[in-house]
Amino acid sequence: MLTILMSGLLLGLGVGTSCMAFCTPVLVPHIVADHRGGKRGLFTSTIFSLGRLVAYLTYALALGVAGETLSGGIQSSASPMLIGMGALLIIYGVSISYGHYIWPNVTSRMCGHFSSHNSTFVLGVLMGLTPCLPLTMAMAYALTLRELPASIAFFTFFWLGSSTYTLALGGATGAIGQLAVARMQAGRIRRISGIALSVVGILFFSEGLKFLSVFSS
Amino acid sequence: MNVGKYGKALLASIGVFAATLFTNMNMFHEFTFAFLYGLIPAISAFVLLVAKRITPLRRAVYLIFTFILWFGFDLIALHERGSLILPVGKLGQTGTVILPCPATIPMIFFGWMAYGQEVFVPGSKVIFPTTFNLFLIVFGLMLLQGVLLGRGYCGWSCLFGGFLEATASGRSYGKPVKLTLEKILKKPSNLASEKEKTGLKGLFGVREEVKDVKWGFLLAISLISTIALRPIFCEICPSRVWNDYPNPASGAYFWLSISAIVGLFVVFWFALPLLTRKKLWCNAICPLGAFVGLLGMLSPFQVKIDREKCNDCMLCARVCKEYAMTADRVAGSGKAAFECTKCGRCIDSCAQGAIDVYLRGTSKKVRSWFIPISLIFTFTWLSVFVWAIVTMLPSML
Repeated sequence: MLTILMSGLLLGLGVGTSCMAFCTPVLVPHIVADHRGGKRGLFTSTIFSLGRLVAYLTYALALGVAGETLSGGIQSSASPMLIGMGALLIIYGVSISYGHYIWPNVTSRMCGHFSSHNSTFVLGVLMGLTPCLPLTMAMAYALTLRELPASIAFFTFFWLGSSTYTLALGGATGAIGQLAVARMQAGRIRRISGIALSVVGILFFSEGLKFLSVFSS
Repeated sequence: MNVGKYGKALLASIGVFAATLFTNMNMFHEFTFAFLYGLIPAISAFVLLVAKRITPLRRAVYLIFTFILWFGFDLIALHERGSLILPVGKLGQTGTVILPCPATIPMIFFGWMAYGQEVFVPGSKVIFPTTFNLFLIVFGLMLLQGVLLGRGYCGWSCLFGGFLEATASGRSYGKPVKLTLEKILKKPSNLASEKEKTGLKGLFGVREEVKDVKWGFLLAISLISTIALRPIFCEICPSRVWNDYPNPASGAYFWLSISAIVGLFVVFWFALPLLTRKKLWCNAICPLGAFVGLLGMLSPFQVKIDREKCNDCMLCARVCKEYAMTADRVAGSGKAAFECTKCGRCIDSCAQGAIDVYLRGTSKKVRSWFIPISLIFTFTWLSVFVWAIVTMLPSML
């Protein structure tokens, strides 16, 4: 068991930069927009990471129970996941940037939802469920374990390793956001963050479409 | 008075000549050619400093610059690989070395910071297949030009700006989208009416909110490029309409990329500039413009209005293609906004002679410094492509 735990931790630490890299374009604008300050940034990234843990445990459970039969299904789910995530980020980004010009009545309510910690948690879950390279590697390893407890233990330690960077990033981003607000209006920072989220959303969306054509061909 | 003006222009043009000759001696390996090449910016500097208007000659130099640049760029592509299509997987191939485009600097730079120099070794973590030395040269030149001139880069020597300069040419009338020919051809009156002043505040006119798109775009593509290990903007860059277009063999990637490239080109580089006579792409979207603008916070040059001479005619706000001189700014501080490319249009348009390039934070006019320095940079960038044409074209004909 110790070998499995260490494998998870080391894999998480090893591919953690790539893992962080996948989440950074979403997490950074999200923190800068609504969760500025070192402590708040750290707290937000912790909630985000907990969301990812839930997603990973879901995968651990599914892989532990269904094994290889589910593996192919998860791979092919990349496309709709990316498209869905992309669409969500576009709506989120547009809402906090130019939403009050486009649909003022809806935006105020939506922004309240998006800036809440529940929203951060949901973002974490969705990002965790969206297959990326580190997750694919972890899933490939988990498939070789063929046991539910081992799979759960492995994914938990994989999450622990990969979250180290995300937490540090959250704290640093929050602090930088706080510095930025001293020079710029908070509304403007939210707008810029919203645009960045929309651009990331468009990219996710197009990547999803690309995968869709790969799988369908 | 005139003797002073001509003397100053002559001194400046000698400086431009010496600097251009110095920077291009190694490039051309032939003194006569470098000498003749250096004469062009020197004469241009002289004429620009003694002429009453900056815009006509600056625009002519800019358009010729763009044409030579892209002709040279395409020639290099044809010479090196025999095609304007970017072959599949070419960027990841060992041994491929490409001159880094300045637009990729902010994207390559963060990757370099994150992963170190090994990204420049082809075949390993390729962010952009170039050598470290080439990257440093382009980065250094961009950094120097950005810090010295700020978005003056965009108005004088942007690799992409010449096309927009052409499509956005002509009078701008304050209001953004002019769909009828009658309105496009209508000349502005000497003094702005209240209606026109209101028009200057339209959504695509001068609202500061629209300008923020470029910051968000720069933030997103810098983050994504850092993690994707490639300059992501290249995949949608509208300039690829005439160079390095994606290979149809790339399947879905080709269709997504080419749709974005053509779509952005048609909308932002062609239709909107033609209809609005404004450069919406440059001031609201371009990540390179945003990056250079950030560096420009250190620039010693600032375009501003002498409020004592200003009669609030708003002609400067109406002719400004970058929404840098806005109605609020004219009435307020008189300083052009961050987006100012120092193109000289507002200076030319002001009948009161109230606008000029100043040393930041002072009332000292420094146009005679700004123009020569801009020309030196323009002709330094251009020399690479002139060199390509001179050396490659004869063997290809």
